[in-house]
Order: sequence, then structure tokens, then C-alpha cells
Amino acid sequence: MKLLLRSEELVLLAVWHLGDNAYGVTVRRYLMAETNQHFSFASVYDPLDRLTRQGFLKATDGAPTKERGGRRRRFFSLTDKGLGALAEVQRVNAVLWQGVPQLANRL
Amino acid sequence: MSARPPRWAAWLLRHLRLRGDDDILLGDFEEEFHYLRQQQGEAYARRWYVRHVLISLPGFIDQMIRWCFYMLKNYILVAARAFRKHPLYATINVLGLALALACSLTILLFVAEERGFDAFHVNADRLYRLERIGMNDAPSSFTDGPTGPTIAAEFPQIQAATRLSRSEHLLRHGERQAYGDAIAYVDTTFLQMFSFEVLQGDRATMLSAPNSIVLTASLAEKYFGEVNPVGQTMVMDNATELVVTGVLADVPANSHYVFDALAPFSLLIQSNSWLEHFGGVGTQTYVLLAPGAQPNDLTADFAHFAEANPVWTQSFYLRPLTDIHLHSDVYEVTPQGDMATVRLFSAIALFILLLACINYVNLSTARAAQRMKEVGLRKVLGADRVQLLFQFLGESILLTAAALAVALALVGLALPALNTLLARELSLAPLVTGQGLFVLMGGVFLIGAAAGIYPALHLARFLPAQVLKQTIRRPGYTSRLRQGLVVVQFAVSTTLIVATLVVGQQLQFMQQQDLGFDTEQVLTIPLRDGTLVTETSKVLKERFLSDPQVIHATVTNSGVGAPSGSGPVAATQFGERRESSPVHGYVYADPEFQPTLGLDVLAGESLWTGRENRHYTEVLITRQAVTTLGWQTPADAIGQTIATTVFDDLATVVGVVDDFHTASLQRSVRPMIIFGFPKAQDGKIMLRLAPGSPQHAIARFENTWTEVVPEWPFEYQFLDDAVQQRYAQDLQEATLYRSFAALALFIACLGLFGLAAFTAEQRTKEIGVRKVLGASVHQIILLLSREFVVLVSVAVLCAAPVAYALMERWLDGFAYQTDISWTVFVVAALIAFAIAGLTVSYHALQAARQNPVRALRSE
Repeated sequence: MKLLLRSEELVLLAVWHLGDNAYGVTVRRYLMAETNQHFSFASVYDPLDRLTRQGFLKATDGAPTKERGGRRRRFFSLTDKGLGALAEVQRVNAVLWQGVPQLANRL
Repeated sequence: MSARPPRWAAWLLRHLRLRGDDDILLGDFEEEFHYLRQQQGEAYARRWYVRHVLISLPGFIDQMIRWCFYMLKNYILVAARAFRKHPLYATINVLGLALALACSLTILLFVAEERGFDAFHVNADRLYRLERIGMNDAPSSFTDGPTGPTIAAEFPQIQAATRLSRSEHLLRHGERQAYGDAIAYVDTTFLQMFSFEVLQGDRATMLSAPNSIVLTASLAEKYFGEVNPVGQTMVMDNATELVVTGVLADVPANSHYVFDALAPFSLLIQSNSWLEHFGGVGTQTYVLLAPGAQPNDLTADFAHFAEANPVWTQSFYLRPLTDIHLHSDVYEVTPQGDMATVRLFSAIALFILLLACINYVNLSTARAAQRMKEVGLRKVLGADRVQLLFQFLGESILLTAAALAVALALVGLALPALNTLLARELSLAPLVTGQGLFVLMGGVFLIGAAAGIYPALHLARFLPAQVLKQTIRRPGYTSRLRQGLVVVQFAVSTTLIVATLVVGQQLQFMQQQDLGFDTEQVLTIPLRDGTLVTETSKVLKERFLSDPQVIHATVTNSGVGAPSGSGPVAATQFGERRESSPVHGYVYADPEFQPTLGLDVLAGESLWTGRENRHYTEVLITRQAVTTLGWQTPADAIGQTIATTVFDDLATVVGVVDDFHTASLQRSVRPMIIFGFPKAQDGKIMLRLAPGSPQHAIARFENTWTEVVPEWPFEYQFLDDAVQQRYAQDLQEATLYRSFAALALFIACLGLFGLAAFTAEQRTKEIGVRKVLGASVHQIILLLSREFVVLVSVAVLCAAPVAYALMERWLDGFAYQTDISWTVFVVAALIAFAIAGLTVSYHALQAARQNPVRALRSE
């Protein structure tokens, strides 16, 4: 199985962390808060779209809410395939990082 | 939740159609907006929102344009297929539109030319003609000789003024001589005020010397050929030697003032010294206002000027130069245009375009069934109404563009003939300018949209499910709208036919009217010089009278054309003038005038025969003048005296003759006074000839002429030819109307032809079944034609009252009117029926004669 791209990995992890509240705005906010980096709309929505199409994520439309001008939310959740892909990344990371000391301390 | 994102940006975002789930994205966007508003404040959030919309724009636009091209390719392909599959309909549409466009383009060119008269002068917006309201309340463009120089010197608002006086002369250079070239006498300022192009000579000084003449290029060519004319001499009227000081380009066709040569006004004054003083109008005056000056500023100055000088004028006013050609209400030296004609032609152009658009609407909606499946499929594949609308509109615009190309070619071919007919120099050149191209493109879009909007809306409305399941009722051949439009087409065509017929009738009526005198076998020989009238004419007349074929001869100033003058006339009683003095036409003639023209004498004597010495204060009056001067019967007038402006003495009425026409029959007959002596200007000899071929007599007259006055060329014209010439313009106009009517009818028939073909095609099976069951050929023709007969009948009924009202108004312009008889309407209706019938029956006959087996076999 092909490894996920870094951007896809980040988005999938954000969705896992957010659980039931994972949709476009929260995913982007979460990533920006945790990484201290700017994420453009495209850098979040494109992977979300792609991952959904490839079956890593499942999209469910919620009820319209007033604060959004009466529009629906699209919630995302991880599929088994998505979980599997994350697990694979986790495994590869663990293997590759094994034996590497805390690099931050070395600087 | 009061704060919302900027409305326009939200609207833009919504309409960019990002992708299928744009609703959710928009929601996310709005949520982010509210988050930012709480965190960073309203202004920041709004800026953020707008910035994001704007930076995403280029990408979206790029996408939209790409898709436009992908779809355009497909649209063109589909349109081309439809064209190839049904070439008849496409041809009818293109041909009809092309003819209508060609007609409208020509009219457009004509109207643009008419409205653009005199605009070529650099100072056109500051040039005016000085006009006046005379003591008789009538406006006139003729002013006193000193008026121009005086006002130019006195009023600072007037930068320059020039007098303009035009007359025809005999010009000679060496062996070459010809009469009839128009010389305009102008002040030296003329060439500074007007922008006539100078080819040779110095614009500033070429009119300074009193004996100079400036030729137009074609006149220079006529007299000098290849030789450089500048510095050469010419002789005018066998008397005055002139030196050519310059050459101008020919006067443009869109100049209201036309001349062949220019000469200094001082030259005219030499022979007409009265022009130096106030008290006699004899020239036109044009002024150039100083920059910024308004014509109304001068009203008070003019009033003061009129008071201070003996100009016999109530008031002066300025008429813009560019208004003269179409809006003048005064007598013009050269024929001018007519705003009514411009409006009428524009209206006709619009109507003919309307007819062609109706064809498009009718044929497109009739054939909608054939496009239904395409529309259904496109909708299933995601096209929405707007896209389909644009597809079909684009198709009609494309078709209009194709028609325009054909139309331009047609106009190019027809222009030379039209130019001779209209006496204009129209060319396609104005269309190739930026403005012209803009008008053409705009026209194509407008006409394409006008023709295509209804069919497009109609087609885009189909619901895909109904279409594809074929549950929709096929739009049949009896659409109310289509019937209505056919009625409109034939109503317009019938109106034009009626108009053409009435115009023709009126012209014939005028030509057959009794003019009050006998025009047959009367020869007119013009006397081009004052001395010819006053001195030589008696000798000439005696010599001509001795010819065996001449019965009567007269020297006169009138006859055909404008009367040779007019003025107030009052009847007198016991030597006292009566109060009213209406204007009468003056005719100057010697005593043989009445027998030569064959005027009926109603009372008194024919003229002063045998009392030669007394005739200066004796006059003839016409029947009308008896009434206008206040007498009951012609006999009452005999021996009465009248006061005229011709001489101080009272004149005695010695006879009354029947009314006769001097001007076109568009005017009613004027009351006339005939004075018993010829005036020095505009003289002519009229000869009444005995029956028989006049050719030999004319040869003898020419010999006599060259013996007596060898220095003047011999010219002649028959009176009946001259009368006919007056109607030349009317006849041309009638030809134009006939072409318009024919064109309208043809376009309407094209549409009908297409509809009939469609109907026959639709009902192929029905006809097959009917024939199998025993219907005869002519029953089927009747079946297919009945609808159209009804439609044309309704059209004729609608058109009749409208046409009647319109033509009554047109006839009101004539003093002598033909009656609009009911036969005109019958003839027009018959023409409409016959042509519509022929058109429809072609397809009806084909359908009716087809073997029913072929129609039914397919099932």
C-alpha cells in the first residue's frame, strides 16, 4: 500500500483527534493551532476531498445551522481504510525513528 | 447574528459555481468569517472575506472560459448539423435576414448621410445662416446686401460673415463655352469660414481681386483639360473677363450648398449696385460665431439692428448650418432633404427587419420538436436553462452574422444603382470606421437576440423527463403565436402594397390634371441675359413668328416652375386701398402670353392687343384673384383698379383668365396677376407650334438664333417635358416604395414557404391516411391551404384601416388629391392572396400528389 502524503497524514490525524466535530473549519483551525503554521483553505479542503474520494474518509452532511447562514456542515470520519493507512504511517514512522535520540536537545 | 459578510462578495462567491458541494463550502466560509469577526473584529473579517473571494477569481474565470470554448465547439457542431439536415429552413432564415439587413443597411447609410450634411466643415458647430421673419410673417433666408458686413463689424460675437449668392452663367474659355455652371458669389471670408478643400491657390487671397474666379476640379477639367488653369482667363456672359486664381476640390455630396465656381461678391455688386444698400433682399448671409458665443445671445443685438436699418424685417434668427438640409422651412436655392422621408425610411427599415425576425421565430418554434431531444439530453447531462438560453441565442446571433455578410455583399452590388436613384453618393466606407463596425456588431447582437430570444426561451423550457419519455405534446402547427406573427407579416406587407398603389395613383392623377394651359407643342427657348430680354427678344420673336410652323410667340418670365415673383396686392375703391392685401403670384409677359399658352378668357379682353402704348398699367388676373381681391364674378373685376408693389401707379384689370398652375400640384393654385411686359430676369420665348413634327422647325430656329445672337448658345425645351421633369423626384420615390413593398412581401412569403413546408412534413401521415381513404388531390390542397387563407384574410382586414389612415395623411400634403377607392384594397388583397397562395400551394401540391404508400410504409 502506498504511503500517505504528509498533508494527507496531517488531515487524517486532525480528523481522528476531532472525533465527532471534524469538518472543514475545525480541521483547519486544529491544524493551525497545533502546528503554529498557516493553512490555506485549499491545503485543507483539497486533501479532505481527495481522501473522501479515495475512501479514507466518510462524509456525512449535518443539519443546517443559523450561524452558517442556514447552510449544512459536512462532517468527516475515518473509515477502516483510513485507519489502516494511518496505522501504516505510524508503523513506518516508528521504524524509521527507532534509535534516533531527542534531536531538539542536540542543538 | 447581525453581521454578515459583504453582500456582493457573497453573491459573487455563490455565482462562481465552485463545484457540486458549494453550499457546504460557503457555509464553512461564513463560519470562518464569524470566527474571525469575534477574534479580530468586524473590519478585519470583512477584509479577509473579500480578499479570499478576489484571489480565487482568476482561477474560476479561467475555468469558465475554458468551458465556454469546449461547449462552443459543441454548439457550433450541433448548429452545423441542424443546418445540413434541414438546409431549406436555414436558407430561408439567412436569406430573409440578409435581404432585410441589406435594405436596412442601405437606409442606415442614407439616413446617416442625410443627418451628417455639412458636418465636414471644421467649424460646423459655430456656423449659422442668418434668417429673418419678413413683414408678411414669412420666414426667409434672404437678407439685404449690407447685412452681413454690418453685423460682422458691429457684433463681437460674430467672428466672420459671408454673403452667398448663386446664379448660372455662360462661361467661355477659347473655343469651349457652356451655359449652366453655377457661380457662387462670396465674400473673401468664405474660404476661412468653410472647409472646402483647396487644391491650388492661396486660400487667404484667391478671392481678393474683383475679377477672380475659383473653379472646382471638374469645372477646371471641363474647360482646361490637362492645362493648369491658374492664371488663365475666362469670359463670363460674353462681357466680363475673369482670371482663374485657384482650384477647389468638387463640392462634397453632403454639402447643402452646391456650386461649380466661386467669384468675389464685389463682382456681383458691380452689376447689381442696389446690393450695396439696405432696402432690397438679394443674398443669403452665413456667419461664424466666436468661440463660446451662443446664437441666443444675439437676439437683442439683432432687434436693435433691425430697428436702426431699413431692412423691412420683424426679427432675425440664426439657423445652425447642420440643420439646413433636413429642417429648413424656408425657400432653398438647391433642393434639400426632408426629415419626414428620413423618418419614414427608418420606420420601413424597422418593419422589414421585424418581418425577417418573425420568420426566424416562426421557423425555429415550429421546428422545436426536432431540437427537443437535444435539449432533454443536455439537461440530463447537467446543462441548466441559462446555458441552453445562451446556446440558442448564440445560434441566432451566429446566423445573423452570416446574414450580415451576405447583406454587405448585396449592398455593395446594389449601391451604384441606388445612388443614381437617390441622387446621392453613398458608399460602404462609413461602415468600416470604428463607429461603423461598432454599429454593425451591435446590430448583429440586437437583431440576433430579438429574433432568438423567444425560440430560446421556448426551447430551454422543455422538461427533460417529459421529452425523453415522449409524453410531451409535440408542439404542433397551430400555435397561436405563430398565427399571430404571420398575420403581422402580411398586415405590414399589405399596408405597403396599398401605399405603393396609392402613391402611384396620386402621381398618375397629378400628371393627368388639367394645368390650365395647353402643354402640347409649346417650345421654350431660354434667354439667359437681361439684354437679350429687353433688346433682342423683339427681333427674335418677329423672326420666329415668320416661321410657317409658329402660331403664337410670347416673351415671358413665367410658364413652368416657380412664378417669377410675388407680392401683396390690394383692390382699390374710389382710389382708396382696401385694407387686406393678400399675396399674389406675379407673371410678366407680353400681350401674346394668353394665346400662346391657350388660357381661357373668362371676361374682358385677352390682352391689350392694338393698344400697345397703354399696356404698362393694365393687367390680367386669374379666376382665383377675383375671389381673393373681393369681387363676386369675373365680370365685376373688369375696369377695376388694383395696387401692387410693382409700380406706384394703380393698375387696371382688363381681363380675367382661368386659373393655371405654375408650381407642382403639391401646392394649390395661386391667385395670379399678369403684367403686360416682360421682366429683364429669367426671360424666355415661348412658341406655340402647329401640329406636326417639330424637328425641322427647331433646326430653322437654331439658324435664326445664331444669326441674331451668335454669342449665346441655342437651348430649347418642350413644355410638356418640363412639366414631366417636375414629377421626376416623385416617380423615383414611387419606385423606392414599390421596391420596399416587394421586399416586404418576399420576406413574408419566404417565412410562409418555410411554414408550409413544415406543415406538409408534419402531416405526411395524415395525408397518406386521407388519400388511402379516398381524398382527392384538391381536397388535400384545400386542407393544407385553408389555414393560411384565413390568416392572410385577417391580415388584410387589419391592414386596410391602418393603410387608409396613413395614406390619407400622406395625401394631405397635396393640394390636389386622388380618392382612395375601395379597389385599391381589393387589388392589394388580391396580390397578397395570390402570392401567399402560390407560396403555400407549392408544398400543398407536392404533399397531395405523393404516393400514400411512401408516407405510411415507415410504420
